[in-house]
Amino acid sequence: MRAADGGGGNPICCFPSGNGSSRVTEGNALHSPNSKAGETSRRTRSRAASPLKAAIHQSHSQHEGQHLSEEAWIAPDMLYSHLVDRFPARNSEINQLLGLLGEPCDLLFPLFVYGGASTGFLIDACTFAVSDKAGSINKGLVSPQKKKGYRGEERDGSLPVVYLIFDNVELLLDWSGGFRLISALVRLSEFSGLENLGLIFISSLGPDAFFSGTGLLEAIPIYMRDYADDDLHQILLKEKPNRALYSAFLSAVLKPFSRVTRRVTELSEALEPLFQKYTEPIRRGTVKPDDQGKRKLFSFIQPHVTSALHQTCSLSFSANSLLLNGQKKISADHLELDFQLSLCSKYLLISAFICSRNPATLDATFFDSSGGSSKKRRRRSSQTAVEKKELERQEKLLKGPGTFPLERLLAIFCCISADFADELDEIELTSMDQRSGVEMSSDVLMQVSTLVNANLLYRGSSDLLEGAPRYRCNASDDLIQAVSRSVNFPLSRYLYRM
Amino acid sequence: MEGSSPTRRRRKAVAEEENQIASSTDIPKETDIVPSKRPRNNDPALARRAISLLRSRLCGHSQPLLLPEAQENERKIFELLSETIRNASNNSILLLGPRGCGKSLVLNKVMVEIQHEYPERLSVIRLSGLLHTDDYSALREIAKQLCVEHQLVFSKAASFDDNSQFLTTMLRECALSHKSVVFILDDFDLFAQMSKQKLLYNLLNIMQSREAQALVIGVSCRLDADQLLEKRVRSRFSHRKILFNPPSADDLQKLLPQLLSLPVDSSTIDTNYAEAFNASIQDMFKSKDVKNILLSITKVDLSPRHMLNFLFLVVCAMDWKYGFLSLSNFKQACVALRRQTKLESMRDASVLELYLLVSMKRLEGKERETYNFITVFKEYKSLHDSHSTCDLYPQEVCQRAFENLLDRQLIMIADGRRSSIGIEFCPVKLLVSSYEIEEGLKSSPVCPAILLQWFAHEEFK
Repeated sequence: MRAADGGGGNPICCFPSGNGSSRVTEGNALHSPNSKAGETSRRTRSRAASPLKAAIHQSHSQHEGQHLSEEAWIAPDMLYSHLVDRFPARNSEINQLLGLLGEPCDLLFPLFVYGGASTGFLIDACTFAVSDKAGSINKGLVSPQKKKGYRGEERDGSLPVVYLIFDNVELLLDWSGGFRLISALVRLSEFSGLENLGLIFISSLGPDAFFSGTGLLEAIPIYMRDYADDDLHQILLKEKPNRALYSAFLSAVLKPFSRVTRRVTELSEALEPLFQKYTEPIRRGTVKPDDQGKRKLFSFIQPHVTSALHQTCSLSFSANSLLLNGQKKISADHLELDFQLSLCSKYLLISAFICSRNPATLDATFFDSSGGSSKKRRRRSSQTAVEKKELERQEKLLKGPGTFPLERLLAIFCCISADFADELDEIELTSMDQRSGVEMSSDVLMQVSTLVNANLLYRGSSDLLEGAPRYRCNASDDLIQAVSRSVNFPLSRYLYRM
Repeated sequence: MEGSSPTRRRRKAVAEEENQIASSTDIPKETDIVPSKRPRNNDPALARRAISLLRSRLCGHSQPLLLPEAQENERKIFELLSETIRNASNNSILLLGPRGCGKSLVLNKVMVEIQHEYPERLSVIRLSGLLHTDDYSALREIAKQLCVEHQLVFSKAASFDDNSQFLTTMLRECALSHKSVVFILDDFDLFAQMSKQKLLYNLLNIMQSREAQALVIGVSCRLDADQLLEKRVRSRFSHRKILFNPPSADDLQKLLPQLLSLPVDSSTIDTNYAEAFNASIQDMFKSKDVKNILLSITKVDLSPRHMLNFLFLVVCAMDWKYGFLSLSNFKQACVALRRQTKLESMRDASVLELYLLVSMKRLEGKERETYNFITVFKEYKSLHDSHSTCDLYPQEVCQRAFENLLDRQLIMIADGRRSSIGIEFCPVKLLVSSYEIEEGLKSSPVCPAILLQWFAHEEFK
């Protein structure tokens, strides 16, 4: 945290030293998850892993006299129009921010800028506005030594404000002692004794998550609303080569898409392939891009919209599922997996699915042809029994797929592969048949671990009493249906219906 | 986080008020406030200078204006300090009060005065519970500040024992040279929450001996801060407490115009302009609209800090081309300060997200206590099966929207952590009340009509 250079002294070095919280920061900065990296494509600068690091980095670079923005310096009078031009549909927010930031020497309270994911550029707008100002005044940074003399002087606002910007503050909440760190950061100006600190916090979570109930000093909230349909139209149109055509395309497709999501990143990702489809007739030369052609194109694209909507939205992973880091369910969209699986793994997967869905007590009825509870007593379903069933079903839905030990998986695998392997006549199968039917070879166990690696099976924590690990089937219903169809396995015959 | 019934009611009241304010004064008429006879300011540079001055007054560290109660407290603390110094006694005191009520401000002011009154008779050590989170770092910081104070060289390599020995020696030396050591512990409650309260015990224990001459001042926003102390610590504590109450609304109303007026005899600001500005401020605070806005602000929070935040927003909203504050500035600031975050995120939610929210609401109506994405999706689907709308999307798409809802903090995972199974099986909770959903649906520009019906009629299928 101490300034490296001996000369002017970095403004952040006046943070009282020897403190616990700053050590916490440094320690955790290495481990903090850089989870949102995937979403930052729209930013000009990539987000740093730790907010504090970013701030330090920024103030360093200011100190070296570098401009943070890639553009040239802009005169203050032009700033508003320039920003509006660069960040469309954000007029009121830009106006408010510029008002709050004021002149380079104007003091300010901590600001808390928040808005949903993918309202991203505006956050950039904020940094841009600040850096533009800070960039023009980088000479006059205060050193803590000067501070004492400064207090006595008549305060005529001669010192420029040093802005510290903390991006992605919501990640701090996951740190141990994060709350404390945030509250210390908000009061940085008080601790350091510097009046001319401009603290700006940028978060994707609202102030409720940070400032409720803890009695913390509140920063001034600034909300960046999500874009409305018109705004989205304007933004997506930006930097497109063929504006007229793209505009026509957007007016045809944007409405249904914006009913599902209004995030710019998701939308631009989803619309790209659709636009390729849209322009296909033009490229083939069958349609000319005039008014008549547009109408044709409109009717041409309509049937594709729904299917594209259903596919694209599910394919792209959101930040949340990235956080889960592979524990995302493998869905039916990954059907290409189907062709990479060996027959043995397919059977393993099916048996795992059965294990997860069926209660273990019913295995005998399904798989043991001789025994089990063969005498089926048909009881009249009374009112209470129906309700009980319903409750049970609810519970099952809430709990998700069940876990099972390896032995159960292998036992069921033996049963189904023995039963159905001889009905099929594939070469691969006969060799497998001999092996798996009689003895459990190490190949099968290898396949299990492969499935775990592919995230189709989830290997849970081991049972305390038994000591053996328990597994859970991670594949979705659709995928299993597809897999069982491909090997002609009558899955529904083996599933317990409640 | 969960909206219990009192908070829900409060939110409701706030929302209604907001609507009133918004509806009663939709079009700002600036000319109403500043009569035309007053000379119009045509020099933007003047206005900018005025804004700068007001901002530094509001945000600066030396806020000069104190309320009567604070002045009383200031006197009390001053007396205690001077008594401690004169009698060479040991003391401890707690300054308690809600955040932003001027505890640190008053204390700092007193410290400046007392150092002026008794130069060379005391050395001050400041610690903060937020910064010094364990005994080791706190003791180190104490040793460091003592070193700086007495022009000694601080050794970074000093161990905990070294530092603690150093502290005892220094205290004894200070007592011998008739110097009082004042420990100011900011966020005292956090020190009390450290394990074993070793630091507090050590400090207070030293003060039991005649060798030391020290004063411990604890500053805390928890009114029960002394109840947090262990028995052995509490018995060594003097139980002297000074309460800082937030000022009354009337006091604040009197104070605010003073905070916003410009100095008439300043070298930087033109006297004519300053007078015109001050007169317009006086007029503003007499008008009924501004009074209503202030009332709605003070109803929520009376602390001076809150008011400063509000005034800061007012000043920032000022149009420097126009040169005076207007009613619309006040309104803007009021709206900006009192965000209704949940309603805002409801307004921004997409149609599919609204559908999911209503499905969850319906599940709650059926007295289903826990639900996860799968059950919500089932409900959503069953609604669509009976009424075919154009908004039936497959499960993956819905799950995406569900994750967006989590991001928006309209729902949360019930047990606070994601389980390993996947997001769709985690039990979730609604973070918005039924009233807020209703308001959100009404204010949403995209909400379809059928959704409102589904929301309103629980039996509607």
